[in-house]
Amino acid sequence: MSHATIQPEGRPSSFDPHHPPEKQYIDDCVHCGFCLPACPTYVLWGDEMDSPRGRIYMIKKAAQGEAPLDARFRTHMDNCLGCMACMTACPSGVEYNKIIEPTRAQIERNLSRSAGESLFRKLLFATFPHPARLRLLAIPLRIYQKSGLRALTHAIGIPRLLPKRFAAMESLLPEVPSSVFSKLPVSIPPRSAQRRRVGMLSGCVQQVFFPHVNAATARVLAAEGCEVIIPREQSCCGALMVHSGVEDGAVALAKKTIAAFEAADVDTIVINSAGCGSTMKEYGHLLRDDSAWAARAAAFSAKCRDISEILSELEPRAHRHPLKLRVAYHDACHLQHAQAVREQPRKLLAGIPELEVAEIPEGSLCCGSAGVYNLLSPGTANQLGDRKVDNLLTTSAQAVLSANPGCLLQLMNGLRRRGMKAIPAFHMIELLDASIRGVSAETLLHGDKTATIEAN
Amino acid sequence: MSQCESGNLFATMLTAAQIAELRAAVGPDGLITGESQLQTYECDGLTNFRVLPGAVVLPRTAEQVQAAVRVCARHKIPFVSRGAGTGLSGGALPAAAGVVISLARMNRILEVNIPDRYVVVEPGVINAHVTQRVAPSGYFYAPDPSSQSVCTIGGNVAENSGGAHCLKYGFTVTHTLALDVVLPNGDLVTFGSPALDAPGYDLAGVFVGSEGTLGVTTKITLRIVKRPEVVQTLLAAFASPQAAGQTVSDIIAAGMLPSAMEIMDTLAIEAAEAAVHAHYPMCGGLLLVELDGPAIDVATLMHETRALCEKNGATEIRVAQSEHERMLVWKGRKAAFAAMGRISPNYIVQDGVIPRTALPEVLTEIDRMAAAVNLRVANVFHAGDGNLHPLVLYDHAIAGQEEIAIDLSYRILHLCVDKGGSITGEHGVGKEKQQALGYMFSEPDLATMQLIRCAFDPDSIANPDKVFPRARLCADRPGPYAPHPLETAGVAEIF
Amino acid sequence: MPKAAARTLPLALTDALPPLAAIAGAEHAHLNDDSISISPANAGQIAAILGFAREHGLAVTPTGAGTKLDWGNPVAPRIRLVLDRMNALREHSWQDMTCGVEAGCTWATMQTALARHGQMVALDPLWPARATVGGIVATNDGGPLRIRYGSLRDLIIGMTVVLADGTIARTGGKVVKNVAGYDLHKLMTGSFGTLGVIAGVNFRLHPLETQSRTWTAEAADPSHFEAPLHALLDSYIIPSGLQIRIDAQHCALDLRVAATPACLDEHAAELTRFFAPISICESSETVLGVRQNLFDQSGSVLLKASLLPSRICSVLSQLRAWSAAEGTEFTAVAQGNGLVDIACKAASDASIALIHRLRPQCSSVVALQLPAELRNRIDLWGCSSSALPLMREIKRRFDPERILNPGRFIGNI
Repeated sequence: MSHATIQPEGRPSSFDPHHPPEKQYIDDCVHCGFCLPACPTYVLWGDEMDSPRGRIYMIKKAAQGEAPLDARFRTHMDNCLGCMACMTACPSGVEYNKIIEPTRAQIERNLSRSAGESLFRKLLFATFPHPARLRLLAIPLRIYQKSGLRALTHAIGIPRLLPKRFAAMESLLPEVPSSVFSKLPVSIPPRSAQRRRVGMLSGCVQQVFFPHVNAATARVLAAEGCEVIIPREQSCCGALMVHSGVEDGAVALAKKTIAAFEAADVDTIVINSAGCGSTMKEYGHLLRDDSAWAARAAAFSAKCRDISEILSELEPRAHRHPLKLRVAYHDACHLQHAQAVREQPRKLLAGIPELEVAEIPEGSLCCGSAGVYNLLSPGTANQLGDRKVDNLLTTSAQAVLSANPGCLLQLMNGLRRRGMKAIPAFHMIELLDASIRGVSAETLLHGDKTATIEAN
Repeated sequence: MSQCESGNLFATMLTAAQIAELRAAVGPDGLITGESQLQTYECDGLTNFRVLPGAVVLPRTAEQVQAAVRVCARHKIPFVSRGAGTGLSGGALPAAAGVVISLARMNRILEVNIPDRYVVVEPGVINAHVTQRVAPSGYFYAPDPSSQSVCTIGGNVAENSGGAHCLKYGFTVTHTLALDVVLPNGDLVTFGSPALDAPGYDLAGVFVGSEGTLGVTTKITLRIVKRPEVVQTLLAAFASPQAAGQTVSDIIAAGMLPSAMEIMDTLAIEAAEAAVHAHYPMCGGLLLVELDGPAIDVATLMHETRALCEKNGATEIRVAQSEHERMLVWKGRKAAFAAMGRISPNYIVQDGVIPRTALPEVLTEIDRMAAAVNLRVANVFHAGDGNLHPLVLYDHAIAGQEEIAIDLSYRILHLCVDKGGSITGEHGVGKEKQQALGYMFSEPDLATMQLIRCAFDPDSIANPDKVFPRARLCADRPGPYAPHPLETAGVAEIF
Repeated sequence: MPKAAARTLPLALTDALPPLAAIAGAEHAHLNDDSISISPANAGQIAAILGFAREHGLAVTPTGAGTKLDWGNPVAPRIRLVLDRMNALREHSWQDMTCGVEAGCTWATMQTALARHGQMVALDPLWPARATVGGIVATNDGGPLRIRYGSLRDLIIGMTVVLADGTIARTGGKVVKNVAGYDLHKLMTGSFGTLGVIAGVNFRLHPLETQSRTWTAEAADPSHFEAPLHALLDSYIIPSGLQIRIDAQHCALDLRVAATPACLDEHAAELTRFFAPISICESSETVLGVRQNLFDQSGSVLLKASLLPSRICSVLSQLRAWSAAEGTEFTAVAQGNGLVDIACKAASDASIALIHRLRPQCSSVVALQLPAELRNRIDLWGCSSSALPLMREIKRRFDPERILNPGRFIGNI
């Protein structure tokens, strides 16, 4: 019978020998196709190369030397949002993240991008992971926004003339808050008998553009009996770089983050950004080959929890005041798929009296944020963002919740595009915080964002 | 150099002119020609067979499908249709250097008519989405293959897919009222109608299950069914699959018609548990029975079913208490194949059918055959209709094991035919069981089927090297052998 | 394979008789005025008879009891292939819920045998005591049970067919679930004997309906049934028969449901609610056999119309209005699935006018029984399918010499 699998004659892999995607992970895929309808790019385009199954197949072919590492290969890998919805859908337990991430690193190392694209990426990685630099940029940005210049620019239609990616960046950036320069204290005492000593990640985009979310997170933790330590030495967790294949940069940031929290000596590390949380839980894998760091990274990762996870672990103690509001909960991909955290945020929200939480149809489909995907592939991101917003609008919710700053930016942008910017977007911790502090729904919907800890 | 398995003696590469015609037919964004991209289309759910196509087209409308097919007809280029590529018999395996027509972009639901109980869809619509669309009105689309969250209606039509509930609810053909089909010459015709008994030959009935060899469907009118008042799912644990099988026979003998009956053996349970944690009881043979209908009737039937399970020695009986529990029970069963990846590096899933009464002896014989070659076989079956899915587990990395596994799977199929059954209950013949079709049907039978094929596709370009055991030319006549004109002319030889 | 014989002179029937008699036995071949009737004992003899017919260009009509010979375009066959000797129920695997029967077996004989194990073929055709399996399948006949169990397409799992050139082919098999090869039996079902002679059929079986109840409601006009019908079809009640009977004066709806008595009691209460203020009362299940009465009226035009179910009531109302206007007598029985049998006693012009009026309102209207003088005034099939050329090609492949019921089917196939 001549139909047995064709055996190539030991061809050299198209990947270089440093951390190529490993055969054991690739071989987990049995080519069943259950991942196809879960994948945003397959849903949009219907072609096999832009599905997880197809991408894994292309990677396998490259590993077997039957396909080159070329621009076409890179395009299909770049198209991948890294949302990990395929991992949730896969019955065989394929660890897609362990296949795509090393592949992206291989691409960055072995293929050169166009000058324009390289520069743009360099710019992204030079700013986003650095809160101090982001803050500096925030000053002119705030002026741009508050002075009416932005409104004028949009009225004239200038963004349409900008290169797509710059236009995307322009539209995504949120209102720079007045609290942009506020900083959280290093240590916050618990407001009830101490149960835990936790570290908190302040993030990069989060701390600059959503400092009120960090403040709310710290307040809720404190209310639930946690001593919160926010080490000053911490940096960006490196998620954006891990997801884009910038391996060296990611490793450096990981080590810095681990060291900062080790010094703080905490029981748990709490993360309120889904994208960051998923990367930090994978530090053990990222640093597996580094003999000095492997064990430390694994220990660190074992302590990482999303804010909804830790609050679900601890019995709710602080009294929840009612919030008479109808909200829609948007599952961030890096929380629902990459970390498989779905029930905990819902359970927490269910603990708020009079709060109605609606499910968004097609909830497993990414909103298009996907790290910096909405900056690198704005066309596709907008298609997904519009689809997400259209689904959201069917819920008649007064506000939308998420667990990730990237998602919040994307949703806000999408709502603006649909002329619905009156619908606010919150991190779900803000609702918990409001409920604990007895803030009314009205105030929450229209009020100013409190970025300090003292307010109570 | 691409690796091509040339099933077609006359395979040649597509010319630039032909590619240009295809591009004109579907637009530049509807054509794929890059080799690394074409590689992703070289197989479907059956990965043992891989053939590189010459091009892939992704039409969005029936007109584009016609245009692409006309290009193929004009140049006698073989073409193969493809939905989600989840088929398990190689039905979407490309023809060497031929065209793959992917229907994935034709995925709209065109019409929903609840009072007249039909839905009109494009072929790329996902099976489960049909039910999702009509569920709010209390209806569902009955054929539910395990891959229903991915597989497309077009693919279901090609294979006449069944699923777990076909004992009571029938197959795709039972629920197909009408089809728009692009014939291999590019003509668009309609078979059937939303109203019953359109005059003429039942071409819709012939087309469903023809595995893409008669044309490409571009629009399907499907029957939808009212959801029963209650659905109750029972799980019973037995010491062996044979005991579970006997219970099934007793249920039939009692005049009951459950909507589904499934049996899984220990290996299959293990894999399913690992995948979805449905909390199945570990046992030799797990029986899943689903009863549906008016609440009062179901209660009576459930009572009787429990009694029969107890009579056959069930060690544990559970009835799903909520829709969530019921979904979880089915999730395990439906993920069973793909979940095999967790307990074995490789596996072959077969799809034989046997008369229900032959189940116990066939299982015993399969065990014996497997033990003789030192391989494990997990068993999952639609016990209600005798459709057996033996999963032959092996490790590709061990030299020679794949061949042994393939051979064992074919011998199991022959066993099914010997016991009065069929070589395929739902996966189709495709590429994988071409030769076995010759074991099940005689020359006159095959020649008669060939008459139909030739009426639709005289040039043999629609999925040509599938289903039938040997390539046949269309002037072949049934009955005793007679030389084909090409042979007489000395141009061709049959070997 | 012998080539088609050059036909120099048509063979006289008297000359055809001896060779045919030699095939089936002299006592099984008879000369009629215009044809020879021959009763083969098995598929091999059928093949030989057809081979002979092909060689001499003799048109053949397969027949059982001849109950539906006048359906379709008229054929003047030279050979009437009678299946009466092939009448055995070959197999009944009750545990597998399948059976195999020869085409000449009468429906009632088969059902009686199957009933011994509490099973049936879930179909209620016309004239079950006389009509044979082969004829019922060839004409795709079916009655009220169809609304629950589907048509012959859903009940046949295999078939043995003899083709015009003598090939004996099997299709499908003996198991319910089978997708190996093409479903040739679906092509044969309803093909009116134009593609081959059905020699044997394998059916899937269902449990007999041992407990059932029938109800009837009467109304002045079909439009009054519109809402109750909609409610009924949208409910959890599973009808085993649902029909509306109508003529110029009466209009009634009958429903039969098979379920446990407790369930039937519950249904009774629901029905009262759906139909209020029309009263709905228990009646006898024999009322569901009235369809046959329409076909038994001699001299009537008999139409089979197919509509979408949601249109039944309005079309029936229109039918009544037209008939009243034209002064024609009519009776109709409409099944809940949209199939309507209409018997019409009228002057020729009025009948033709009625067909023309109905056709645009329905998905199809076929004149199954039409008096001889009307046959060349209207296309009784009324089919304008885009697939007609393909159907002709299929006929050409299966019966190139056109010996099987030539001209009987749509488009004069």
